[in-house]
Amino acid sequence: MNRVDREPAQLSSLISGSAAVVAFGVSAFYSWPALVVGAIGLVLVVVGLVRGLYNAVTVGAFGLFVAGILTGVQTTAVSPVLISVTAAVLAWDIGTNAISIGSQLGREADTRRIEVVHVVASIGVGVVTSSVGYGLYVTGTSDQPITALFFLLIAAVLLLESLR
Amino acid sequence: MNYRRLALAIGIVALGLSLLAIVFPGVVAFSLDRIVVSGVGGLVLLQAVRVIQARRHEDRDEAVTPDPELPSATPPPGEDLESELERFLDARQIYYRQTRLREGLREAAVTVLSQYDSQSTTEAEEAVETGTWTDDMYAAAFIGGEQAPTPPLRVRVPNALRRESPFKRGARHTVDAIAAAAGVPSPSNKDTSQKPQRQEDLQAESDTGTSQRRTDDSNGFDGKAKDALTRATHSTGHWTGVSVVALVGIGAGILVEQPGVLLAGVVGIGYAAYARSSALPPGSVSISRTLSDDRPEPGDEVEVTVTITNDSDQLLADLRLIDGVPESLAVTDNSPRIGTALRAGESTSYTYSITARRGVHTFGPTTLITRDLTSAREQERLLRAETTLTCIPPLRAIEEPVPLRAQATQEVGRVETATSGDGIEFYATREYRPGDPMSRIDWNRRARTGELTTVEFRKERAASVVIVVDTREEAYLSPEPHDHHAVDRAVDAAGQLFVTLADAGDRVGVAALSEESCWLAPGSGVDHRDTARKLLATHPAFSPVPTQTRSVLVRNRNRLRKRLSAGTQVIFLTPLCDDYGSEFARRLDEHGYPVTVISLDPTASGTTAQRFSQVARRLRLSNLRGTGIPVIDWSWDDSVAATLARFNERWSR
Repeated sequence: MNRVDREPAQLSSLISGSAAVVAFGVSAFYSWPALVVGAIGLVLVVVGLVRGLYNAVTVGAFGLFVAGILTGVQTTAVSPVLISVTAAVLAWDIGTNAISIGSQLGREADTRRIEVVHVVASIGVGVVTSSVGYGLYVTGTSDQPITALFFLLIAAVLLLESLR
Repeated sequence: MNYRRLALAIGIVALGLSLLAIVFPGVVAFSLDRIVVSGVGGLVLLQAVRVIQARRHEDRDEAVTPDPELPSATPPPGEDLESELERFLDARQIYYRQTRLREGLREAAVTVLSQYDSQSTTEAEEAVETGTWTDDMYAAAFIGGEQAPTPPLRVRVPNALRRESPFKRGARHTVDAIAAAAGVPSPSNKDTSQKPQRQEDLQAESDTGTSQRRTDDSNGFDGKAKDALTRATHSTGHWTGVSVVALVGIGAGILVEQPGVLLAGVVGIGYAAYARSSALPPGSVSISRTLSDDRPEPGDEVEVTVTITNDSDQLLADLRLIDGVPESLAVTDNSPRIGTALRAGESTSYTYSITARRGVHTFGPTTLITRDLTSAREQERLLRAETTLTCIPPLRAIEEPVPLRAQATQEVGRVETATSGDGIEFYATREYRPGDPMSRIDWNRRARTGELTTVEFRKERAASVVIVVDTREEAYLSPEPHDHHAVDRAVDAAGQLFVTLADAGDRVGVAALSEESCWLAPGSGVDHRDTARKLLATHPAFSPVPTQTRSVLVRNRNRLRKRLSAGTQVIFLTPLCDDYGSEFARRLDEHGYPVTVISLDPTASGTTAQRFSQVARRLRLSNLRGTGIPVIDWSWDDSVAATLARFNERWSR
């Protein structure tokens, strides 16, 4: 009669960890500060996934995100920044979902279906938005006025903040 | 509110400007000042910091799921020392808790000493006062007077640095010393050092577990509704703070003028929009449950198959289901939980195993947590699917005769009386009297000596016995929280005693001392046995989980007493962990029903209070024995057969 094993769901943890490694690996190549911050973030995410700690995963993923931004600040590279930031968000989302599934259903239950659906949807959103961004960058910057982009982003942020 | 409207207005203006700039590049061709751009970037970053601050103070708000895997926990006796000591304090009014405990322990020590050390009460009081009753200095000092020895300074100094307070240490040593004086076997050192921690932990955890289940069960079903909403759709907080990605990306991107960073902001906007898009479809889900065997033998593994169907015409992306395993049963294989996604009309099923136990077990409602695709919103429901598992164990006789008191009915049977008559066993010979049957004349003697003598046999009479099981809420006890509890084992034993007595020709009945009235008058025959078997397995009074106390206990007790006919023997199965049980036995005995008490010992020795409850139980046993009632002490690890064998052996010698 053991107690219920409430460790984070396995499949999601694995994918979340892989996303964290990708986020770290891509950004760490380009700048030293990113390497340091990203390494701390990666360790926190992994510890959080093993021990089932929401806050460790959240703070760790934030570290990975900051590492991605630092890479973007220090270099002119675009796709590494996009990949690294997307992967950091994915590591956070999938990782916290793994912990939530673990605490509600435990490790022994069959949870592959909800995990797969969630992972596919989140990765889909990441792929679509970063492709849109990248497409905007490749086609747009030469002849579209920078003013338009500036106003567009400001509009998006304000609308998101107000339409909660 | 105003801030939000302002942001909305500016946002719409900015959107319009950007569209204008795209369509007519010439119209909004004013060049943006560097300072303005930096200012906007700074503002955006500031907002990011605010969101992070807000996120830090906001926790996730998710459903907490019950633990149906484990059978409901039963505590060991001795929850707290103070209430255990209550009976030693009589009606004395002492307000300070520490004084109460000290006084109670002193009284207990005096009682134990006068009972087991063959001292008079005054001698015992004297011994306690001067501290000569024990070798333990802490105990002697704790309840002793001025002359009692105190621990030397060299042990008191290091003790002061330990975590245990001096009062607690004193109480612990005193209880141990009293237990030793009462002859309670002391637990090994390993046990005392490790067990308390673990036991208290388990206690705390299992308490929350059971309370969780109780609320779940009682929650909101009105009438025969198929499902009940226990928590309406609310945000889980899963995506809270994702806008930081957009804000930091755009703010920093504007400041450092790097396209990569700005585009990271676009990714952030994408996820933030995704999180906001979440809406929980009002899908309806139904479940059904099948058992591989709904009338199993105890100990059998029963496979439970649960099928979930999506009755709506929408995809349900995240369903988390926890089946309502009966409170008294343990899951032995797989998990009663599943997480699944179902397309419209689709259904899926899963299987887990439970081990059957005596009783009627009803499956509780199934907990369903529905989330949307993004996991941002969640809803809790209870789904109902009535399933019942009934487990009626066969009654097996034991080899040992059941010890009964010497008093009997007028029917031929097993109880050996102290009078001569028709029987099997030789009782005495006497001089022949005219009218004695020929077969009773001792012909050997007649041939040898010529005297006519008659052989007499011991008269054997059937007893009329009622087996009473103590199934009050207070009797649901066990040394380990998730073990079989005392009531379960007592009911099993009652079944064994029932057949053993019935096989021996006695008339046997069954009753329960509980809130639920339960009575089967003494009888015999195959039908009677069958009734008893069903009664012991399925009557609510013998339920495998404790029933809530209602105050009809006194009425039931009196009714039980009235139902007993004169001369009926009573075998009373009780753990004797409170005074009610022993009081009941004594009253019955005084009213002329010969009582035999069989008491299963569910005590643990983890904490000081549990240790003391062992002492209190032992005192109750000897007090009962003192009034002439035979008490059979049944230790937890023994079977009832072995216990009776030991008892019979001791009393036949």
